[in-house]
Amino acid sequence: MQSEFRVQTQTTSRVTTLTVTGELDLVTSPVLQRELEQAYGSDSDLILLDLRGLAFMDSTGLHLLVKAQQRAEEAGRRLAVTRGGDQVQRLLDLTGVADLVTIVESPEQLLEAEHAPDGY
Amino acid sequence: MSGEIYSPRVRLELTSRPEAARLVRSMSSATGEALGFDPELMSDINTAVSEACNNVIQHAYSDQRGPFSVDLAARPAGLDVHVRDYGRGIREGTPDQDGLKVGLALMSAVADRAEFIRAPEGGTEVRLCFRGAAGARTPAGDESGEASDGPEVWQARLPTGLSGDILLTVSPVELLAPILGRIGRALAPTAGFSLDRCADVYLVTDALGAHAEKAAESTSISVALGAHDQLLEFAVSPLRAGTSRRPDGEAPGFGWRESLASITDELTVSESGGHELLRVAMRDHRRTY
Repeated sequence: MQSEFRVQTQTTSRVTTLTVTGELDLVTSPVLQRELEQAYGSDSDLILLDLRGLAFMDSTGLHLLVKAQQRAEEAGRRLAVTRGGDQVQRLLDLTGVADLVTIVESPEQLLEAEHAPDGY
Repeated sequence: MSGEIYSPRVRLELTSRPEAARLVRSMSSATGEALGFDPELMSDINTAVSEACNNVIQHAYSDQRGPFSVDLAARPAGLDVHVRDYGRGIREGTPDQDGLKVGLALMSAVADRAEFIRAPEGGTEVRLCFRGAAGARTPAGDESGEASDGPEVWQARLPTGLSGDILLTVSPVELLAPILGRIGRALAPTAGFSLDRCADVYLVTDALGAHAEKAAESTSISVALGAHDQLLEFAVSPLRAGTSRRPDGEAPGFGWRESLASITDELTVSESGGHELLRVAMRDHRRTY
C-alpha cells in the first residue's frame, strides 16, 4: 500500500535531519521545499535528507535535490542524502545527480564520520 | 487474424490535475503486479509514465487543465505505454525547458523505445515500449507483437453513457479488482477520506471487480470514478441486463448486493443501450462536516 507523503524534521545542535516518506513528486515537492527552507535558516551546519522511506521520486524531486545542494552551499550549510529505494537511486544514477550530492548509507554512518577524530 | 488472442489492456482517461500522475502510477503498478512484471521493470515503467504525465500536467495546456489518456497494452514483444494529450504539443519556448528536457531524457533512458509524436489533429502522444515485460503474463503471439486487438477495436468497445472525473477501462475483466482498488485507494485522500474509510475502498472495489467478472457484457469493462468532498463514486458498465438489478421477490445470487450495500451509501442500477450500469457511492460518515 502507498504510504502518505510525510516529512519529519529533527534538529540537534549541529544536524537537521529531514526524514521523508511516501512519494516525492509534483504535488509533494513543495512540502519538502518548505521544510528545507526552514532548515537553511537553522543553526545546523549539516542538513541530512533521509530518503530511506521514500517509495518513489520523479524529476521534480530530482530538481529539488539539485537546488537543495546549491541552496545549502549558498547558506553555508552542508547537505547529505541517505540512499533511497531502488527507484530513487536509479534516478540519481541515471541523471548523474548521485555524483553531485553526498550520499551515505544511513544517518548513523554520516554522524559517526562527523564525530570521528579526523572529521568527515 | 483470428481476433481470439488474449491481450491485456488498460486505459485511464483523466484530467491534467497535479495529482493525476499519482493515479496513473497506481494504475501502472497494479497492472504490473497483476501481470507479474519484476520490480525493477515496474520502477522504470512508473518513472517513465510519471514523466510523461508531468509533461501533460505542466506543459500541454499551459495554466489550464485538459483531458489526457494513458494506455497500457501487454503484447508478445513487451509492454506498450501511450500517453496522449490534446494540448499545444511539445515545442521550443515551453516554460521550464530544463525540466521538460530532463523528463524526456528519463523516458528515453528507462524505456527500450520512446517516441514523442506531435499529432496532426493537435496534442502530443508519447509512445513507450518496455521489452522486459515480454515473457511475464503477457500474451503469446508472433514475433511482431502485433497480433492483439488493434486500437480501433479497443476504442470501439469503450462504452458510452459513462461519465466521471476519471474513466478506467480494462481487459480482461479479471484485471479490474486489483487496478480499481489501487486507483480508488489513491483517490480516497483526495476526497478527504479518513484512514478507516480508505480501507473500506478495497472492500468496495473487490466487490465491484467480483461482480464485473460474472456480469460483464464483453471482455472489457469500464468504471467511471468521481471524487468529491467526502464522497467517492464508482459507475461500472457495460453489464449484462438482469445481472445487477434485483428482481422482485426472492432472488438467489444477489447476496453481493447486500454485501456492497452494507459498506456503501447508494447503490443504483440503470439501463442504457441494452446493458446495465451499476453505480455505487460511498461517503465518509466518520468525518465531521
